Amino acid sequence: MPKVYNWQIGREMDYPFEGRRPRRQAAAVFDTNKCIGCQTCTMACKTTWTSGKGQEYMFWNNVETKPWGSYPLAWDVRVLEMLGPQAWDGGVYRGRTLFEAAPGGERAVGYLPEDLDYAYPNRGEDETNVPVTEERFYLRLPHDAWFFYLPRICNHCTYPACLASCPRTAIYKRPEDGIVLLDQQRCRGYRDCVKNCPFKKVFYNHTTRVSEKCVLCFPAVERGIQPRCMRNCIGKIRTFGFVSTPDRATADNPVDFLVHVRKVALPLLPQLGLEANIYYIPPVHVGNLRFLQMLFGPGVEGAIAAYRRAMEGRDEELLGVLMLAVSTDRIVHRFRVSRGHAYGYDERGEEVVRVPLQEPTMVRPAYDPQYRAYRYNVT
Amino acid sequence: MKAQRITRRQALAGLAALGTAALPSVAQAQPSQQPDVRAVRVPVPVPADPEAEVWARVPSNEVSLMGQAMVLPTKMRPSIRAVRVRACHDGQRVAFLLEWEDRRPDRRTVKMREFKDGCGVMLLPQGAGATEWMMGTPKMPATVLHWRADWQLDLDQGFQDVEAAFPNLAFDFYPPLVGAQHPPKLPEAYPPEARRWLPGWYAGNPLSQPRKTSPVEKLVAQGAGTLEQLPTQNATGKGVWKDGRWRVVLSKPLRAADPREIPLAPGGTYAVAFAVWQGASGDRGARKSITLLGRLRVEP
Repeated sequence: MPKVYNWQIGREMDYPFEGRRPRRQAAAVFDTNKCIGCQTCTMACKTTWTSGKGQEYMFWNNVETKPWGSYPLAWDVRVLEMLGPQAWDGGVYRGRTLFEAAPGGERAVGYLPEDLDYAYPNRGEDETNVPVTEERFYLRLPHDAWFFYLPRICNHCTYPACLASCPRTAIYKRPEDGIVLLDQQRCRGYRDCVKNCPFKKVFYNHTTRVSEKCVLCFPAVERGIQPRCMRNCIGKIRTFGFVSTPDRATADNPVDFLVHVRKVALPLLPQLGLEANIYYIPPVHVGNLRFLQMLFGPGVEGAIAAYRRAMEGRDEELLGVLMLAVSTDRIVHRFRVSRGHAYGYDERGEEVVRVPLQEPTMVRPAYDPQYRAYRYNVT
Repeated sequence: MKAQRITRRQALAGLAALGTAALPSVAQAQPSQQPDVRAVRVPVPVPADPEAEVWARVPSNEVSLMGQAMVLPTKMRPSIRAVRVRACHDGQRVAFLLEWEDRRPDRRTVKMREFKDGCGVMLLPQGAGATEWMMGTPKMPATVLHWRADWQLDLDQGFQDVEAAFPNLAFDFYPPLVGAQHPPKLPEAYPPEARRWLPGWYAGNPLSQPRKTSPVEKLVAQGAGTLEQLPTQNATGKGVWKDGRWRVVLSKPLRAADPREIPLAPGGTYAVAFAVWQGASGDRGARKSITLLGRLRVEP
């Protein structure tokens, strides 16, 4: 099997195809600290792409509550269990990837969920890691009792397991932007992609009897517009753009800045070996670092420290990038932070958005002499 | 991966020997290792029904099935032990009757873990060998007849939609079918502009078409993973499951309708292999029980 380099695990690994990176790779950063679990992204996607017959159970975008939530049921636990021990040696992963753990006669390790596994998409919603029954759970950072929201879409992996396991090569990765698509004409419904995508983001359509997956709203991306789930994010947690490999990272590219420069955004389950391209800023309040390291790899501590520095007002640049998230429908290719403002530029270098790092506020005196009245603190 | 390479090499060596070995000339009591099928000429149009009387007069032979160890994903052990094969022609069409034991029919492919029963006939020109045995090559494409239990069910009982598998399904409405009869039935309830909500159908995928005309597809393959429907779909057939046994007829005109289809003629000799899928074992695609590549003689 060919060897490919996966920078997220710091080493070469087996992959059924030769490594050939797209000309650029669509990617996003989700700030879990800001996600309020409103599912607006879920509905934006659902109403756009999966409201047809046979797609009833499909959520190309879903938001689950960690640690207990999962859709389909226990997808992460089941996959990690199949993978075996997952040891890291600094930034180098020493365990087996999905491809290296493949049983004989298969291209990757995986399982095919049952229909009932999809029956409760919001199972575990808002459940804390331990029952909140005692007084000891007062607020401090990190929290003893915690949960956080994990919004999930297809990761448009650099080394997709769905693509690798399709016997018909009906799944392909676009060279122009790295978006992974499933050819609706070629698919013959074998469901190997459903089985081997560890994130379970390929779905079988009950009515058309072929599989479907997130298309990252490619018709929008082609026109410089962000995908629907990103544009509609109420919590403004999503930064969409293009990610480079670490050696080609540029500091004024918002995604590169978050992933490579500040290293505040981390891939989901890097140990799977897919080089997933949706990155997460880990939650700063979670009182179980090992749980976060299991989900996001060894960079968690550094990411949390970098994020807290920005929140304390000690990293204006990082704050600026995060302020730009979901501030425009356009894809921001380049950014700049200067004199209290963050600026976003499109591919041609034209300014598409400008946001103040601090929203202007006005403080009015409590007593209004003109009307001889006291103002109430209402908004 | 290492194990796979060894298996492939071994299998190729074995096949190379088989491809040139003399073929057994008579049907044996034990399943034969290699198909040797004689398509006899019948004085009536070839039967489309597996229960037609004429089949009783057509000689049969039972062929061993084995796992598929050449192409990923593999299936090391066959789900079905053997398949009984008959063939006949009427000068216009050739028909095969395949029979095998299966305790439980698997007909539906609506749910996530439902896979269908099925069977296939692969036809190649005489002289095809070990390489062509794996679904043909670009130089020597294979014509494949594929009978599908799920299409048979669609034909026998109407299109099997979500409601067939999930009778208690509730869904508010399907855009743009607001106000349509509930639940909307395919294909009647879907005017052409509504089909974009059924992407496979909209894209023209043959598997996603709710309206079926035959349970048998006629396909061409130029190597593993290249299977596609031929433009002219004129294969017919029927599968009946009774008393723990599938009996399936697959038929096509002798004359080729498409450039990549194999033309057959009375008096000709061809290479043939058979495959059986058992849905309950998760069989689909390359996960199938197959025969070796053998001989098909079409009687003058």
